[in-house]
Amino acid sequence: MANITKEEIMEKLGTVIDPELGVDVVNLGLIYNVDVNDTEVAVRMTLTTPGCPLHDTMINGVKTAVEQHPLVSKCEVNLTWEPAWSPDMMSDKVRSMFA
Amino acid sequence: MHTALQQSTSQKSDQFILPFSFIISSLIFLVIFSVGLASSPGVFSFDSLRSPAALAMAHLFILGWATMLAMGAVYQLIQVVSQRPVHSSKLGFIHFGLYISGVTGLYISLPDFIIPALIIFGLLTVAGVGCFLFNVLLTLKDSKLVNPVISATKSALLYLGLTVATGLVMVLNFRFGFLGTFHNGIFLLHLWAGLIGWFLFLIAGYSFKMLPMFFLAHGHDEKWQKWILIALHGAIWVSAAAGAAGMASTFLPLSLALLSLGLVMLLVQISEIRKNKFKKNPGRGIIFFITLLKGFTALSVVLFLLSIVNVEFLLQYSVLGPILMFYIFGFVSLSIAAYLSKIIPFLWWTFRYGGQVGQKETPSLAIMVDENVAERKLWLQLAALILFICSLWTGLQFLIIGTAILFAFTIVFYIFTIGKAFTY
Repeated sequence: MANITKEEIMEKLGTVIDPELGVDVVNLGLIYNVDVNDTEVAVRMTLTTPGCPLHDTMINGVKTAVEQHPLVSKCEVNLTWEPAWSPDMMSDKVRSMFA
Repeated sequence: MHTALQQSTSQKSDQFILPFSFIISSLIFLVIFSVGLASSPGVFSFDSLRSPAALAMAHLFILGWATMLAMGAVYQLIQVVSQRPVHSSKLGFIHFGLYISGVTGLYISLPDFIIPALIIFGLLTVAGVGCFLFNVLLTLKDSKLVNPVISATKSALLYLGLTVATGLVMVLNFRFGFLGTFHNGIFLLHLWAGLIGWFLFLIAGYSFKMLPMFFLAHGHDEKWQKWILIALHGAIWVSAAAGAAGMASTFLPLSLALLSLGLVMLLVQISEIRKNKFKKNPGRGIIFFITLLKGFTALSVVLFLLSIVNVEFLLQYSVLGPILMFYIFGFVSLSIAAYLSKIIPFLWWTFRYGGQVGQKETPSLAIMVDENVAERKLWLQLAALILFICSLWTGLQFLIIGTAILFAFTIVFYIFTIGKAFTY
């Protein structure tokens, strides 16, 4: 049986778009870590600011997107504020888009 | 698992329906106001600003549109500010029922000044506001967070409570006549607490939180926030205390100085945010709000200077009337309307598409409201208001009728633009 790779999970996460910024969570630098353990995935992520109005939506979106992978049985999303997100964490492509 | 993920579907649905009910009702009240203004353009003549008909229209605008909308926005944004769900959605819906009945009744009974009806509907409004204050304060208590945004929200709630309480005392005084010379002091507190306290604390507090998000600004200096709140509190209490002591005009320059200082510091705070921005365009409605705030700050400074030179000149109805009209129909209403260009798409998107994220493509918020059109219509509304105020000054009936209809039209014209978000 094929293994789930981090790249495949990141690809799925790339479909989760922040509707205010119009950019996906990977390019925004919101994904801090992805752990794959057999068919279970744990994502450690942050948001652009504590109390972000899209808090629930983004967490649920990440969970749903990862669970779209045919081999994933469960995805756990852990929200963290350490380290705090800053615009430096965005990909170069996105940073130039906003500037 | 995160607690937010454990909320039931009905809780999440309530978190949409509750603010949405207030926002939609406020827009309906605004349309009723516009129709009323277009059909009775002379209602706001400067020498009859305290006439029952003018009071009915002013209360419809302030309680039905601006406060109703602000309450809906608080129910939505308090979750962002406190990082907690609203304490009780059920109490929120009770608040909605009481408040909408009270405001509608007040609007109907004010023109004929039917005192028993005013007392009943006033009490319903007070009960509704009481539920709102209780609900939001408990939400803040549950959150245990302490910061200037929370302080601004609590201050706004305090002044809303004071506005309603003083309004009720004045209504009871019309019936039982127990206030004597204190009536003017109570009236001043009612005006300052309602107009500056409730609205300006909310506008300032939510700008502290929302503008960095719209500008994607991080690491900016927040030291001004505390001083802004202190200056605004000072402006209100100096005026209220002076009014109670029968020295309102003597202390008006000090009140206006504190108000101007608070506004200037708010602009400095916004410039700190902009210095650290990462996103050039926070949305055209937000740019409009900042420009409007600059205009209002300039006006406040001019009024302060005028109050030093000749305070009696400022207190004439023909001067005070246009200033109050510009503040309520211009600064407060247009600030709220500008923020609405962000609030409505967000609220509707969360309800309509929130559950689809990660499954299928969803639209961006930016395409749900054409921000360039929204900004142009906000400018148009401001221009129409200024023309209306100028025509009231001239006293020429044909000009008053024409500009009142134009102003009413621009209000409805703007609602169409932001209402388009619901077609997505």
